[in-house]
Amino acid sequence: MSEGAYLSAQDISFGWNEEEQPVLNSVSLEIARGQTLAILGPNGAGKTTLLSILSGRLRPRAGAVQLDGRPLASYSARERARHIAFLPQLEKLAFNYRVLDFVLMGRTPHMETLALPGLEDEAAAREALISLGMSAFEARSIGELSGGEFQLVRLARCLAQGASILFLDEPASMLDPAHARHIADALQALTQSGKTIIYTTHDIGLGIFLGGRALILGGSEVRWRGSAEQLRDPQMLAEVYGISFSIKELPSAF
Amino acid sequence: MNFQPIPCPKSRAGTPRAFDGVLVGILLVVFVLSLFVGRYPKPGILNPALLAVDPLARQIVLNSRLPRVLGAVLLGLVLGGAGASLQAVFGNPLIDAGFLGVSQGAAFGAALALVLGLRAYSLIAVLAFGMSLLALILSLWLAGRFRYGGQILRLILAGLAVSAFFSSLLSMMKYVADPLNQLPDIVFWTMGSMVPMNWKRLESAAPVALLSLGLLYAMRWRINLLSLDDAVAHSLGVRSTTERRIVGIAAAAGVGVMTAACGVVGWVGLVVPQIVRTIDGPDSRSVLPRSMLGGAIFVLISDTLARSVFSGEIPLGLVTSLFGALSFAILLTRRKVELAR
Repeated sequence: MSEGAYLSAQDISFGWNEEEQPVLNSVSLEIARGQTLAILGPNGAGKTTLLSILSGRLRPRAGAVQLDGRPLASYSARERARHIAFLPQLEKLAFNYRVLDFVLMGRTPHMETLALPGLEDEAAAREALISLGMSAFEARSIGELSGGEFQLVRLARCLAQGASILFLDEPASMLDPAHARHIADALQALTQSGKTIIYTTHDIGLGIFLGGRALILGGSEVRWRGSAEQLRDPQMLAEVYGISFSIKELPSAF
Repeated sequence: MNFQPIPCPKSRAGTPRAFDGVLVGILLVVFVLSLFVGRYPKPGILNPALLAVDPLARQIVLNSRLPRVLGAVLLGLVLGGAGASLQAVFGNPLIDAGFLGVSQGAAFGAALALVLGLRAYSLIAVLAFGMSLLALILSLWLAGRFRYGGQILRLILAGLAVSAFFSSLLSMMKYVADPLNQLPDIVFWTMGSMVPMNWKRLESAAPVALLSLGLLYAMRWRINLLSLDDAVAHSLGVRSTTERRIVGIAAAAGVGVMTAACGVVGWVGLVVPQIVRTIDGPDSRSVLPRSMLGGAIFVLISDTLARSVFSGEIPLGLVTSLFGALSFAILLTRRKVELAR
C-alpha cells in the first residue's frame, strides 16, 4: 500500500458460491483522501459487488480492504459508519417518513445506541437539506417526492451522516436531465469540499464531468484504469465494451 | 432550475404533542369509568359513594374490576406496541403478532399446558411464550425460503402457514382434551377473555409485559432505522439482524405472557398502529407510544363492553375482532394504509 492511500483493496476476490465463476477476481485499487473514483463496466461486471465490499457490507472471499491504515473488518459498525456512507441504487421503503425525519436517520452513527436525535442532529440534517437545495421539502412526506427529489433527499441523509467517504451506486441513473445535473453538481461540490467519492455509473459523460480517476470492470477483473478524462478515448471504450464508440455532439446535461 | 416545491396543503411540520396528552386523558377517563361501569348493583354506573358503605361494592371494584381493568390496559399496551414495532422492523404495515403465528403459537402452548395438566399460570406462560417465539422464528425462516411473491407477501404467506400449523396443533389439543375439565377452558381461552385476570395473574404477567414495553419504547428510534432498506441500515452502523431479533423477541415475550394470561385477543396490533400512522406519519418515536396508548384504550373499551352490555359476558377476542376487522376494512377502502413508495 502506498503512503497516500486512504482506502485500499488488495487482491479482492468474491463469489456468491464456490462452484460458480467468481464475480470479482483479484481486484486491487487505492484511493487517496479526497479523490473521486468512477467505477464503470457492463451490466453484471461486479460494480455493485465491489462497492459493497469496499464499504464493508460484503466480506471478500480473499483479499482485504484497508481504511486509513487499518483493516476495515477491525472497525466497529458505528466507527465504520462515521467514515463510510453507502447509498444503494434502489431503496425499498415500507413507510413514507417525513423528509426531515428520514434525513435525521443519517445521524445515527453520532448518537448513543438508544438515544433520540437532538437539536444538534436536527441542525445537521437541515444543513444537509439546505446544501442540496431541498430545505423547502423538509416537512413533506417521502411518498410525495418525485424520483429525483427522493434521490436528493437520500443523498442528504448520506451528508447528514458526516462520513468522509461516500459510496454511491448509480447516483444519477433513472433521473431526468435536470435532476441528474443537479446531483452531479452536488457531487462536484462535495469533491471540492474534500469528500472521497466512489461511485458506479454507466454514464461515461458523468464520469468525465466529475473527473478524478476511473476504472472499468469486465470479466470479473479490472479491464482498464486511468483518469476520468481518458474516458474520452473511443478506441479504449470499444476494446473494453466490445462495441464501437463514436464522438458526437449531442445534447448532454453534463 | 426550479426546485421549489408546490405549497403543500397538509404540512406535517411539528408533532402535535397535544395529541399525546389527549390520548393519556382518554385512557384515564376510560380507566376510571371502566371501574364503575358494570352490572352491580344494577346495570349501569356504580355510585362511587357506595364504596364507603357497601363492602361487596368495594370488593367488586378493588378486587375484581381493578386488576381486570389494569390487565386490559397492559394487554392493550403490549398488543399495540408489539404490532407497531413488528410492522416497522419487518417493513410491513400489514402484519401483527397474530399474522406471524405468535398468537396461535401462544394459544397452542397454553392449550398444551392445560392438556398436560399444568394449571399453574407461570407454567402456562412459559409454554405460551416458548411456542410464540418458535412460531415467530418459523415464520421468519419460512419467509426467507419462499420463492414466491415480494417481501411483504412472503412474510404474510409464511405467517399464514405457521398460524394454520399451530391452529391445527391447537385443534389436536382440543380433540384430546378432557371434554369436561379441559376443553371448555381451552375454547374459552382461544376466544380471549379478561375473566381469569386477577391480582395474582397480573402480578406474574406484569414484569415480563412491562419489560417488553420498556425495551420496545427504548428502541423506538432504532425501530425507525430497522424499517429502512438493509443496505442503508448497515451503512448507518445498525446490526439489522441482531436488533430485529431483539425487537421480535421482546414483542413475542410481551404478547406471549399476556396471551397466556387472557387468551388470544386479535386485531388490536394490526389496526391501532394503522390508525395512529394516519395522524402524523410513520415515525416510531410517536407511533410506538401512541399505538401502546391507543391499544390500551381499544382493549379497555372492548372489555368494558364485553362484560357490561349483556347479562352474560361476551369473550373479549370476539369484540376486538369485530371492531378491528371493521375498522381495517374501512381503513383499506379509504386508502389510508401507506405502503412502500
